[in-house]
Amino acid sequence: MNSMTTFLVRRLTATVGLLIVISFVTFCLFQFGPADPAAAACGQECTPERVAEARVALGMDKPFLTQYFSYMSGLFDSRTVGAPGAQTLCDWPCLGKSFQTNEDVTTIIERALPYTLSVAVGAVVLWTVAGVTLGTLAALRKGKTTDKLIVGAASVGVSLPIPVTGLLLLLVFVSTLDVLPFTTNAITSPFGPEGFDGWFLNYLLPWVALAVLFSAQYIRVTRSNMLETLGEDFMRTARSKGLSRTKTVVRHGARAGLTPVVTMLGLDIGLLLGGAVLTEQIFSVPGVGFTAVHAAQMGDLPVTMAITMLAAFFIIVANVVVDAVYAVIDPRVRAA
Amino acid sequence: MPHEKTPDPSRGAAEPLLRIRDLHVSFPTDDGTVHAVNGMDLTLGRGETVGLVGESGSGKTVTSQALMGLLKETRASVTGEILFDGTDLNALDEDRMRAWRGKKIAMIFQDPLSAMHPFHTVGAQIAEAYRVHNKVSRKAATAVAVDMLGRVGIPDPKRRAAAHPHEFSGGMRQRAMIAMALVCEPELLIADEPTTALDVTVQAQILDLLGDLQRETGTAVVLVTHDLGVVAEVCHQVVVMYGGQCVERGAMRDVFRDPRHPYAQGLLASMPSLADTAGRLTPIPGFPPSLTTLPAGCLFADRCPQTHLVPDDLCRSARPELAGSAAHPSRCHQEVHAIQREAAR
Repeated sequence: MNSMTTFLVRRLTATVGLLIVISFVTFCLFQFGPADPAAAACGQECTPERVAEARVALGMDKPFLTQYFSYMSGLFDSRTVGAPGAQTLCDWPCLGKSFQTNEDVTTIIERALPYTLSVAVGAVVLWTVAGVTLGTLAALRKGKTTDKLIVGAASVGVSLPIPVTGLLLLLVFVSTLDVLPFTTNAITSPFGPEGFDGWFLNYLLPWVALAVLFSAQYIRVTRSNMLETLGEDFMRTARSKGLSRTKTVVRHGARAGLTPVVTMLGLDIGLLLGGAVLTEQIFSVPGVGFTAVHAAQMGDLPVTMAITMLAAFFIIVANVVVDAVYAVIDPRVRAA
Repeated sequence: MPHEKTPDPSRGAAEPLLRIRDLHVSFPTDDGTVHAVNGMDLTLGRGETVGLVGESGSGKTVTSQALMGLLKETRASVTGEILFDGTDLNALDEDRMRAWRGKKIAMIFQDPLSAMHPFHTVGAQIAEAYRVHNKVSRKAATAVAVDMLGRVGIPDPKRRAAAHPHEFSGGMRQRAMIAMALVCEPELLIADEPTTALDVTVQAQILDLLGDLQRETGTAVVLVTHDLGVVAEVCHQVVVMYGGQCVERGAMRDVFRDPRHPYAQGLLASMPSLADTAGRLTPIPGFPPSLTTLPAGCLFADRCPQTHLVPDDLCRSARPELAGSAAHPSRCHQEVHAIQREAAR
C-alpha cells in the first residue's frame, strides 16, 4: 500500500492549501460584502460616532491583512477580542464572538453541531439504503413493471421540495394522526436519557423528508450505473466462469456500479454537515443550518462567517475522503 | 492441479464432443426480430480445433454465446440442438448449464482488458474461476492460480498474481485470460477473436500457447475469428459463416485449396498475400444482409458475382441447402445443382 500512502500525503497537503484559500476568500466576502458589520453591531440609534466606535471595537479600523491574520490566529491560540479597554478573552479555538450574545462562536457551533449530526446520520443511512436497493432492483428488472414503478416514484420524489414533504409529514403524522412527537430540542444523541428510541422517533420525520428527496437521486444514479455495469464485458466473463446471476451482480457488479454512488454520498454528507438549512427550519431543529439562518437575519457576522467556513471545510474534507475511498476501491486511481 | 489428459478410447471417433444441428437464434427488438443465426451446423471432435470464420454480423459471436448458454433467460429465442458430449445444452436448465460453464466449456474474449474485472487482482480472478467449481480454500485456489499463470508463460507468477489487469501488457493479459479459462480443464474452449486486439508478434505467441496447452490437455477449441491467417495456422477444420448460416465447411486444407462457396472464395481473395506484392486487395463488394428482413433467396445473392451461372434466378428465389461432398459441403445453388463451377481464382 505504498502508493496509497503517497496518494494520501499528496492529497492532504493540497487540502491544507485549499483550506487556507477558502478561509481567505470567505473573509474577503464578508469584509467587502454589502453588509457593514459595524452598522449592524451598533443597533437602533446609530450615530456616525457610534459606528466609528463599533468599528474600533470590532477591530475593523486595522488594515485588512492584519484583521485576517488576527482572525486566523484564533485557530491556533486564544486571543482577545473587542475595543481597547473593553477586551474579552476568546478561548482557543477562537472564531470571534457573536454580536448578539457575545458568546464565543465556537461554543455556539459546538451546541448546534450535535443536532445537525443527528439529522445527517439517519438521513444518510435511510436514503443510501433505499436509493441503492431500489436503484439496483430497477436496473435488474429494466423495462418491467417494478422498474417503471421505481423510476416513477423517483421522479415524484426528486421534484418534491423539502418544505412540501416536511410540512406534509408534520401535518399527517404529528397533527392529524398524532403518532409521532413534535421535534424537541432536548434530544441530541441516541446515547442520552431518552435512549435510542427517543432519538430515533424525534428525528424520524426530518430523515424521511431528506430521504424522499435524496433517495430519488440515488435511485437514478444507481440504476443508470448498474445498467452500464451489467453490460460490461467483465460481467459476461464472470457468468462464463460459472457464477450465478446473483453472485455476478453482487461480487462483480456492485463494486464497479456503486463507485459513482460513493462519490455522490461523500459530497452529500459534506454538504449536509454544513447544515440542512430547510429541513432544520421546517422541523425547528436548532442545528448548524438553523443557527446560520438566524445569524444571517440578525446580521451576526462572526457566526455567519464561521459557519460558512465550517461548511466549506466539511465539503473539502468530504472530497478528500471520497478520493481516498475511491483509491481503495479502484486500483487504477492509485497510479494516476 | 491440472494434468495431462488422454482421450477416452471407449468413446472413440463415433461420438463427437460437440455437434450443433440447425441452430437458430433470434432477438426481438424495437425494429423487428433480428435473425442472428439461421441454421448453423457444426461438428467438433475431442481435442480438435475448428475455425469459425466470417465478417462482423455473420453470427459467430452469437453462436458462441449460445454454446455457453449465455442466452438462456434472455429475450433471445434459441432453437435447434447443441449436443455436447451427447447432452443437448439448449434443453439444459440454467442451474445445470451454470455448473458446466467454466468447468466443461470455457471462453476467452477479444479484449482481455475489458473482459477482466478492473478492481480484482489477476490471481483472485483466476482463483475465483477455480473455486466456483472446486471446494477448496481461498489459499489453495490462489496456489492453483499461480501455478496456472506459470503454465501460460507469465514470468514470476507469484508476484504477478497480486497485480491488477491494468498493470499487465496486452499479451500478458490474454495469457492470464487463457489461464482463467483453462484452470478447470474444460473439454471445450471457445476463443472469441482471441488475438484481434493484439500486436502481430504477440498474436503468434498466443496462438502457439493455445496450441501447446491444447496438446497438453486435450481441450477442443472453437476459434472464432475473421482472420483467415489465424485459421490457417491453428485449425483442423473451418466453418465459414455468412448471415448466420454455415455456408461452407471442411478440412482446413480443402477449404483453403478449393473454396466452394463464392463468399469463401471472396474471403480468400481479399486476404493480403506476401507472394503477390504488386496486386491490390480484392474486397467483396456490398454489405451483409439486414438480419431483420432476410431475403427469400440465398443470403449472399446480392453480393455474389456468380448468380448468372445459376438458371431461373434461383439465387434470389430459393434458399440453398448445404450440398456437395459430405466432408466439404457448401451452401450454394451451383453445388446443389452440380453446375460446372467457374475456376475459383
